[in-house]
Amino acid sequence: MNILSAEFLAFVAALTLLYYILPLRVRKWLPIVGSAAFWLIGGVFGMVYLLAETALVWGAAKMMAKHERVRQPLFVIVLLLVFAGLFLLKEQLFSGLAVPMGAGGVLRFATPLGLSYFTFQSTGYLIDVYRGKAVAEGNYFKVLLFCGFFPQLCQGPIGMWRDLEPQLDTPHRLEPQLFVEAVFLMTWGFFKKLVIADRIAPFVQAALVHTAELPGWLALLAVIGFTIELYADFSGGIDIVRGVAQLIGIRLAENFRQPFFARSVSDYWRRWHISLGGWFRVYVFYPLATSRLFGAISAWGQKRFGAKIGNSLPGAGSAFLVFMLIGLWHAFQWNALLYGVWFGLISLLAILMEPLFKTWKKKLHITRQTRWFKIWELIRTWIAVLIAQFFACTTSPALAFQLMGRITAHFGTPSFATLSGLSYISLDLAECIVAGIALVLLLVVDLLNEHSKNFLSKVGASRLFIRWPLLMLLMLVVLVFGHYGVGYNASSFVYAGF
Amino acid sequence: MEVERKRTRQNKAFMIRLILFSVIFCCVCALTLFLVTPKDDYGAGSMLNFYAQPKDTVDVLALGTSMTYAGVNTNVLWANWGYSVYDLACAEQQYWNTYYYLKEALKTQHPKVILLDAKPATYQDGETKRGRTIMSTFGILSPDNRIEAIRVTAGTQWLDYVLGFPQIHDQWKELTLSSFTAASWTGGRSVNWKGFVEKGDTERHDKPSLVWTDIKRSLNAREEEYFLKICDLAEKNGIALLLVAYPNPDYASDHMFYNALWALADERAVPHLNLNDPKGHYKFLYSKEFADWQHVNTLGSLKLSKILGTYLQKHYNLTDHRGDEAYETWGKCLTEWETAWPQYVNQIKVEGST
Repeated sequence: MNILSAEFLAFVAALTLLYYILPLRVRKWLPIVGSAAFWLIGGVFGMVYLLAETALVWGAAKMMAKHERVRQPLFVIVLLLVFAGLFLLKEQLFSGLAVPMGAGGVLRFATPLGLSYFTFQSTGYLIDVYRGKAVAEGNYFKVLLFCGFFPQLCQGPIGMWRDLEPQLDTPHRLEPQLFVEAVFLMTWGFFKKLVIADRIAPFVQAALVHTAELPGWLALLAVIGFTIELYADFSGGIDIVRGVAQLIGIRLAENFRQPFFARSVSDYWRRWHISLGGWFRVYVFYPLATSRLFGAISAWGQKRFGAKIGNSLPGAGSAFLVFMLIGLWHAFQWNALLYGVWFGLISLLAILMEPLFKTWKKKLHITRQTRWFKIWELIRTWIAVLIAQFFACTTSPALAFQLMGRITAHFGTPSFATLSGLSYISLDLAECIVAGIALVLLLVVDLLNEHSKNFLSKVGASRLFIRWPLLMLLMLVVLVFGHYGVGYNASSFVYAGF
Repeated sequence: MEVERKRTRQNKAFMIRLILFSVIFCCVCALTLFLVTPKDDYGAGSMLNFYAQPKDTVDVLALGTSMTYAGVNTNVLWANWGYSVYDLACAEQQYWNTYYYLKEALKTQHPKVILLDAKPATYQDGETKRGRTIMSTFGILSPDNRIEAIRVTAGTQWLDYVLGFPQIHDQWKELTLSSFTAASWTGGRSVNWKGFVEKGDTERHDKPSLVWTDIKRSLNAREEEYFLKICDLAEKNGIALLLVAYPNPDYASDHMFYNALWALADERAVPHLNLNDPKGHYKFLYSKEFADWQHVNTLGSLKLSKILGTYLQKHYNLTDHRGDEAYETWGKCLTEWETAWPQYVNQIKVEGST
């Protein structure tokens, strides 16, 4: 079920209504019933896979807690099995295969909805139990709901057991302010997705098909457009699913925090796809950085390059590997790998050179508050992120480099005469005006969010004569200026297929 | 206990606010939707304007496709016989839409005769989901008939269309200042307009060449189902139904579908008038009286409407309303039309009519 569809909204409305009508003692079971309906609509194979994977993880966690002797081997085997499943299904190695199910039905091995999101959540839980950070849960359905809670299956965010499970296990009373905030959040998500992302998308797609003939400035505009589209699309989708969960009192993890105001690449990754970064930080980066291998590397580095660099080596090396994995998480392709390697290299160099930078800053009297330095940091991060997007928006390294080449070698060309041939990428004037105003609004809201935390919550809590017209206006803007309906291909979310 | 009571009070107040918000928002949406609804002649305009007609004044209701609104010149019928005719038609109106238009129309008008376009007999099922066909139903303001008309047209996607916005929200680009004026309530025209749309162009065509045969090509199942429902509805309300096949140069491809429709009509004792029938000697000039391969032009509409008027006079006991104040809008419509199309003023009258 597409979360942009009227059916999904009707489903959410019915579920929310039922949730608050039901007596408090049975309320907490409704999310699993709703999620089960959602899994079923998503496909039988996906549901069977989710049930099987969560059963495996739940059983393994219980066994690990009971039998110390099998704890480590079982942990490793289950982890390998789950990630092997993720790899095989994500790469669609079984696509096209199907088994008869009787009565004419067929079970297709399609990629289950939200595969990597529920896989990361289930393995996160398993690792927590293994490391003694969580108690193995006796009730299978609690683990199942934690992994398969339907809003987050669409495109995350990836929740942590300690944050999400207690919320799912508690029946929630109607909290008017939280409810209003949720509606604001959802509407804002629809605005970002339908008014901005899907309006820019045709221009970006059309431009990126013609990389060989684009003038450099247009290529740059296309990559910037792609970056904004990706942000509006992904963060918009996350706002919608967070809003849906919040309608029944469940707060999902924040996934975006004004990423384009980041002042370094590491800061960017603390603001962009936060839950993925957080998962890798907790379950990959820290274990790697504190592993014996990196301990040995650190000792070797201290002898060879001195204490400062030696101490930085575990962090730098782990960051590089984590970014490589994040790249590969997007796809097992060269472009995705290069995307990760680029961020990894920047992080590695930033960590290794941090002592040097500190010295320079001290000599130049630069502090975090120095205005010109802040601007430089913003520009520097933007450039680093944009370079990475060349790999994200193309399908091969050759195309990515070709696109970069257009900017460096053909920035001002072609002439106006040639440009007229590029009419396929034009948006009409009215569309441009709407896109421009919407982008300004997005920038303003992000600015307000940056300076006064959670601006939308504040609007949601404002006086009735302010919040009602604002909400109605925003809803109307989405309904009228959104890119949807007849004549449009319903664009799915970019991150929905992961 | 006190906390619980306070919480219940707060929740009740919130629920009331929520309902109030929803009601206001629905009203705002309905207004916005109305604003962006295209009201051109082939769309929702004729239905919207129909609501503005004085109650119980329409004696002859012409239902159907663009062939109806281009062919049935209500001014000719008024000028010669004083018949109050209204064209409740839109492009490619299928019988299942016609049925709901009729149901809606019967809420305010009680016509004596319905002129039912035969053209939908030729439509295939797959043609029915075209956007503008569904868009035409947006003129129906009562939720019951509107939802049913859309549901039966759009199939499983009906909810998207019922909400309206997925279909027409993009029309914001077409908004003009006049969209915000009261005139838009009557389809961009005044209440005097009776649904006739002039086609001023002329396209040369040949007389249809065909072997006159009795062979039938079946209507698609839905068209047949709703044609019979229209017959039932007309019968139930005591309205005489007349099937009309309007002349068109492309008649050869429609002929066998019409044969099937005539057979169905005969079973229900519904008369039919085929203006393409050579035996009728209607003498349409295919080189002068057609705007395109389907529609008569304004000149053709004069001839067509005179034939219709003569037929109605012969077979039905309709009242001449000329001079009746309640019907003054038909008179105004004629005056306005004659002002706009002075070249046809001398051709509007039938010889011997008053």
